[in-house]
Amino acid sequence: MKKASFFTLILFSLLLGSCEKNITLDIPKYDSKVVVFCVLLPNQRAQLSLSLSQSYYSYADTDTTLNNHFITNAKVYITDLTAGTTDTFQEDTFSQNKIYFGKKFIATGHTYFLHVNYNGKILTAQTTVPMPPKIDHVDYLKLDTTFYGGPNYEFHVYFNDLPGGPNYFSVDNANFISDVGLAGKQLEIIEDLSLAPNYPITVDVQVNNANKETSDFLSNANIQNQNANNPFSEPVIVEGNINGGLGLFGAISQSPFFKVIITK
Amino acid sequence: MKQLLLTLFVFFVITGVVSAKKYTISGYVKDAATGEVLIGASLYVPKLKTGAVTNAYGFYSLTLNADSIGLVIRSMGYKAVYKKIDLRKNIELNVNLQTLELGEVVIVGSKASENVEKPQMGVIDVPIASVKELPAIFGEKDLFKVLQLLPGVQAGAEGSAGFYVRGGGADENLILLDEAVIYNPFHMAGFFSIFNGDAIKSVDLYKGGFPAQYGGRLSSIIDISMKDGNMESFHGEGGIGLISSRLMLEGPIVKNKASFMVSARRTYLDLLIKPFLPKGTEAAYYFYDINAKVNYIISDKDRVYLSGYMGADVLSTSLVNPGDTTGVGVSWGNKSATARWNHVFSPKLFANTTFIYDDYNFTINEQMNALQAKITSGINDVGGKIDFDWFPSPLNHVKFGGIYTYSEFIPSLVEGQIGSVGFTNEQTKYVHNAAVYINDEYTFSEKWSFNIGLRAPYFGYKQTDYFDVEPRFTAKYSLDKTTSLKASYVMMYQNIHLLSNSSISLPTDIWIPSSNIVKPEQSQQVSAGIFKNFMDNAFETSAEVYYKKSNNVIEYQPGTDIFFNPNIDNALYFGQGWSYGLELFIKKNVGKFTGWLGYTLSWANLQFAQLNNGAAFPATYDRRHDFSLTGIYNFNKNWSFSGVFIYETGSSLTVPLGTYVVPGPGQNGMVQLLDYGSMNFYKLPAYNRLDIGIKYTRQHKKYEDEWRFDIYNAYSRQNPYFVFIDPNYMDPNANISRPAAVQISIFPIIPTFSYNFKF
Repeated sequence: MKKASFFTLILFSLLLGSCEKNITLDIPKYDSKVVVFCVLLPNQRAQLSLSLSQSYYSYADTDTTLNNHFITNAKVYITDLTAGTTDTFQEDTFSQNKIYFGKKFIATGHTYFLHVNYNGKILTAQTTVPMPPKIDHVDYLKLDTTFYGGPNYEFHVYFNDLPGGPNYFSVDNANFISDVGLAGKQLEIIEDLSLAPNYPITVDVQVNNANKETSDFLSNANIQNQNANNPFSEPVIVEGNINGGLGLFGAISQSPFFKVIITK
Repeated sequence: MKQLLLTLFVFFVITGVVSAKKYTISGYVKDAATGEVLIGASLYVPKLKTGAVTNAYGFYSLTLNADSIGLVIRSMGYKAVYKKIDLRKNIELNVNLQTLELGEVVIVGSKASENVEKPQMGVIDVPIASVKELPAIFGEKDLFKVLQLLPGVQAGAEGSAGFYVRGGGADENLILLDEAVIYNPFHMAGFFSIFNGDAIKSVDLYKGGFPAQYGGRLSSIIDISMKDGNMESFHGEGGIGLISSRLMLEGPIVKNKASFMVSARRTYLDLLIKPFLPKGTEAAYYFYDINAKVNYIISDKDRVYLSGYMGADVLSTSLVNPGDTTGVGVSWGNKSATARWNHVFSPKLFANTTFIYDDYNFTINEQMNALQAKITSGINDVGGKIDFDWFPSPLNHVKFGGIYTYSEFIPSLVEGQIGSVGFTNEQTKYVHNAAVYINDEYTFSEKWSFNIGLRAPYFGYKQTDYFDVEPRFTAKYSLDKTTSLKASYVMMYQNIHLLSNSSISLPTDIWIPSSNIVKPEQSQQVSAGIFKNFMDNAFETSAEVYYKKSNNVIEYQPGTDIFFNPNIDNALYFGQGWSYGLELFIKKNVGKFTGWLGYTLSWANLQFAQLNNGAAFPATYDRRHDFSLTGIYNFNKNWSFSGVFIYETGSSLTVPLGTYVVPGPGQNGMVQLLDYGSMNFYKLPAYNRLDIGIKYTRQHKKYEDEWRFDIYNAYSRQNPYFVFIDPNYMDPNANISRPAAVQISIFPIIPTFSYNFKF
């Protein structure tokens, strides 16, 4: 038996002899890029953040250093190509994240062209504001109890597809469903929520409709973020629509809130 | 184009028939000691400078003028036989060849000059003997790891038996075991192939110039034949290794009429690990495989074969605490069964009828207190095929036939219950696959010969039908007796596709059929080469160049849940791929030292409108250089030494270059994102490894045994199994956490003793 254990130990020493080591990647020098993030919402004024990316391997603490990379003194304006008007953005110097905001309200169905000039570097992008969906009805099903004692509910949100498109619908702005091949049909989104057990529970449900560039960027950003610590996951490249830089100039239209009251 | 090919085809056959003579010699060529039929044995008439080659069932047919002729029958590793024949009537001639003694010649390939003479290219008769002779990790002899040493075949991850042929994907290789399709040919997440070398008779690898009887995949065909079983006497062989043991038995059921072969292999990792598990924990992993075959010679004209394979990997863990029961069981494996009937209609017409069943199944059973779930994925086929070999003249060998397969795809079947509430989600797809083909190997003159073929596949799923035509053409021009030039063009279609959710071979990969959204993948390949043998065929050499273009190749949208997605077809991207390269091969067939050297210089690229901003990018296994050197040296009857050296450029990787933040969804603050470089732009460090082995063989009165000592990765190079970017790598020198590339290497130097025997 002792012999057997000895040989087994040798075997597993070999099997578990896998080695993990830090290696230096011989990659080209990284030049910072301008990052734009702006999602237009109908009937609201546009807000836009500008920052600089930095080398992934050279920073000490992302949360603090990246937040110091917001850009000021950029010239930003959007042109409403449908209405033929231009809205020059102002910088909010009080905001921590150095937000730029427009003065005009965004209109459903209009196409907007973005122009950013930062230190002579020009960035452009274009997006069209989609139509807002309307929720038909919402069903819900109690699943089980969460670790913290509150109930878990599964919501089935039903709404009709919109003309035109393609449209990309979401409840959480992270997971989108496409209406490609489902034009004109009733669609369903299933969403799980953990709620506090304060009956009757009121839940306001809203469905968002995004255009393709917005859906692609937000869903890929969500997946990349979720997989950040998974070594087996394939890399998810978040491709934006900013010419000359990174990020998103997109648009989302939201449905009116649909109130769901859950009694015990 | 199709009409031209058809006209040419008819012309070749007719010209061959017109010049045909009156009498036919036909029969089988067999191993005298075992009664096994010999595939690819040559029959040559020196006086007429013509001949024939045995088919996959050892049958040949040669039609000649009435004359007195001398016939030389040879097969590599066997003593040549000379027969004087007075050909005044049709003659049935079965030939038994005696094996050569060790020292006279070492068996490495099949027919010595076949590589030069046949109008076929991109094909390698895989040296089965080498599978047993070369050193192997844990002493597990692996057919696929020998395949990886051949030019044009790229290995997968470190230690993996997976392979990529001429830039194609892992699913573009058709693996046939006695004509049944094997969908997942791997054990242990790809570290070992399922093929037990003791049970295998022959393996042919086609990577270009595909004959028309093969189809259904874009990049390669691996045609594996099991041993038939010894017709003369009872024999066996087996081995005891570090992680598994195996046994193969074969013998006559009725001497020279019927025989059997059965082999089995099982690992005992589950038994070894048991003493080390914490109390209350159950964990086990093992794999096994069983091959079995019987065959019966009914008459001179009829023979039947029944063969089967069954193998599985089983992994289970469970944890039982009071009030808390969790457990996961995972199993995956293949089953196949083939029934074949050979019938000789006439000395010129041979037919094989086959019924095929195969099944690949992957199952997860999970219990987490009140939740019980079972997830199944798989594919199974039932079908039949008929293949004819027609020898209208010595100038023509025509093959024609058809195949039909009915397939059931289960991308995922989820069943289970939470407490008393049950749930199920099934996505089964039923598919019809069929094809007809015709192929003529035509000898136009002493210098020129051609292989011209046409295959017409059909695929049907719901209301979607795909009819395609695949022309195949190879031309050979002999410069002299030992040198030839060859060129080929082939078109292939593929109607089943593998979606893989990781860069390593896992059973969670799923197969899906073509549909109205997923079009058939298509490839066209052109290749050309020079083939030259030296020193009376002791050295085989070849240089081949190829260019392959593929359309409708598939990737899925990043982050897609391929397993639970009911509408997976809509989550796929369709693009194109192209690969090209140069392959050099030098093989020494005879003498005390045998082996080969393979070198591949290649490029493999992909392009999808939705990926990498629409720009082309290198495939993961785009390796510029791939070099392998193998050698076996027999000191004497007792001692032999073997070695393998591999060098290959590292595989491609997508790595982040920069990072930035954007506002998160809702009010979730800021989200950090990564700015990746172009897809697969980074090349991992080169892979290189040396394996050595020494074997001591003893001959006993009734049996022979051998002790082997193998060293895998002799200089313990830390080759990457995979590399990932750890955002929080703890730098031991600076004592800070920072993003860094981390390489995982799994196999350092591994010495192994193993014991093998045969009787």
